[in-house]
Amino acid sequence: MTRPPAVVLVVEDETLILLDTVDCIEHLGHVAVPAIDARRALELLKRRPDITHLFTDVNLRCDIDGIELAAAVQAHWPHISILITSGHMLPATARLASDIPFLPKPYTAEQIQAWLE
Amino acid sequence: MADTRVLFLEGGGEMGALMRSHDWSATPLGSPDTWPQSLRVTIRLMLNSQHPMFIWWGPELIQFYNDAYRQTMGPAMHPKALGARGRETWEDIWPIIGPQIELVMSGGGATWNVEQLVPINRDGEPENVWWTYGYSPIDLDGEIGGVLVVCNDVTEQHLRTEAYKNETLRIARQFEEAPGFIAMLSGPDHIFQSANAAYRQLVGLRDVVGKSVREAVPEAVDQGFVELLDKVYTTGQPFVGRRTLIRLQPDHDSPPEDHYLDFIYQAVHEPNGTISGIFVEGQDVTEHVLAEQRLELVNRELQHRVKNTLATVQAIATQTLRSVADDEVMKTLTQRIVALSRAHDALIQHNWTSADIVRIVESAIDNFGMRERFTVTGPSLELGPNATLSLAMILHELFTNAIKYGALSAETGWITLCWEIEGKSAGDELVLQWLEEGGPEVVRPEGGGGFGSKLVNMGLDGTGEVLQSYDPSGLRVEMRAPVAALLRS
Repeated sequence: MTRPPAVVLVVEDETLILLDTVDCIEHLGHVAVPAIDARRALELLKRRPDITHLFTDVNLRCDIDGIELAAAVQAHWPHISILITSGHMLPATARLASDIPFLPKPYTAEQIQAWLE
Repeated sequence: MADTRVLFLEGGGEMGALMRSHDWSATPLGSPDTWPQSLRVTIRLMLNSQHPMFIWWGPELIQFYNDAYRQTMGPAMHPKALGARGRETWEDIWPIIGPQIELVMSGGGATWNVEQLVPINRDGEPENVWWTYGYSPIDLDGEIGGVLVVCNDVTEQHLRTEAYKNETLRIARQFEEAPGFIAMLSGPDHIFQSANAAYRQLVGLRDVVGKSVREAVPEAVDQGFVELLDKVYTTGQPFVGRRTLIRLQPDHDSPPEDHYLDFIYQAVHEPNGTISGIFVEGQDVTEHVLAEQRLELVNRELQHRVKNTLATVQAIATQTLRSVADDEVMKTLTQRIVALSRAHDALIQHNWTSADIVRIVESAIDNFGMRERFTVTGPSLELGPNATLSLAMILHELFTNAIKYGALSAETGWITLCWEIEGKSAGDELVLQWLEEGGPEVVRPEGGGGFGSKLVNMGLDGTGEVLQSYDPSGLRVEMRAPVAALLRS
């Protein structure tokens, strides 16, 4: 590992997928910070200035969805790289800022690795 | 040798001859040479006219008529009506004509009737006949001596007019009851000439006839509909609207209603080519559009569920295997699940019923991202859901294999992926070929092969129509399947 490990905030409301994604990120040698919804994610963002990446689902069973969370992160923590995922092929593309990459579900470890490096 | 006193009976065809041979002395009139001058003048005029004419003379209403009138009578009437008394001949219809004759005879003037139904007994059966006729007085020394009838049998014309009226009414009723909305607009201000029930229903039962579109449906102005009408009126080019949204508000108190319309504005041309108005016809397809939108929503939700479920299955599988399997196995598993998921993306485009082979192939190539090393040719062809999943998974295995061992493992290798449809007596057959070239020398794998090789050997429709040849210059795979089976499966 030539660079310091990334610290990835993973926001996903399906626990099994959250668990596996966290596992996958750690397996790649990075640090994963799990959050089950956007409210918890925002609290973690305030407490953890070391977070470098945000990996979020769109539908989050919460009043804030992944796209709104991404917008908040772009506004307040512009240094954080963002990747949005969803089971929808084109998740409300109109609302998705064009500079945020999108990864359809299900995804592979290689795809996460490619984004982090 | 003609008696000069009865010269007035000369000519007149069949009726003239009958008049001359009739024994008038047996009638109250007596011999023709004794008839008064005014009767003679009228009879001569009648016998020599091509117009149907008839005379009642004297208090007994003794009858005379000409050849043209005779055409309207059957054997039940003619010839016995000649010289007979009016009341006896016309007993059946006396209630109709009696008072009219009485009116004229009593000096009350003349009568005129247009297209009047006067049933007559031509062939022994009463028959409906329409007449246009007038009764006029014939002078006799300053008194009224008789009645001259000038008439026309207008039954044919009457029936034609009636049929036309009925047809017009029928068309008007069809127009009114048509399920689609119909309106006729006239002039450059688009004044409603008519609007059927469906149209009035659409605009909220507003009274539109006689008003301009601008007055009757003011909310249509800002939505561009009057502008469209103006354009059709000036150019004569029809306008066809498909699934066009219009917001209608019958009055200020009611909430606006959104309608989706399929409609046409068609210019109405006069015989001289000028445009006099616009014919409006269409259907309110709001229900269809909303149903489509709901279906689209359900489809998107279903897609989301399928892909989330696959992601969850993948999570369970990797969590289960992580402690016992190496990274390569995990990678193969997750990539297969992703390939399956991408095949579903192709299906969702057609409500899960089918997918185009071109799209499946393009999607697989995009996933691996080595487009420049592919030559792809083949026509569009719809595949059913099972064939779609089979093809997507087979392509995934061939790709993975090519990257690991085949043409894509070398810097210079390339792949030709082509398919065509061959006509066979049993029906069209899809032939798909995967040809690798420029890779390392091919060695036939030992044993029966793994999942990938088994999957490829099952073929496109599971029947195993597959030829794999381990040509040293590159792997060649040819798969065949009946087109009908591919669409069904």
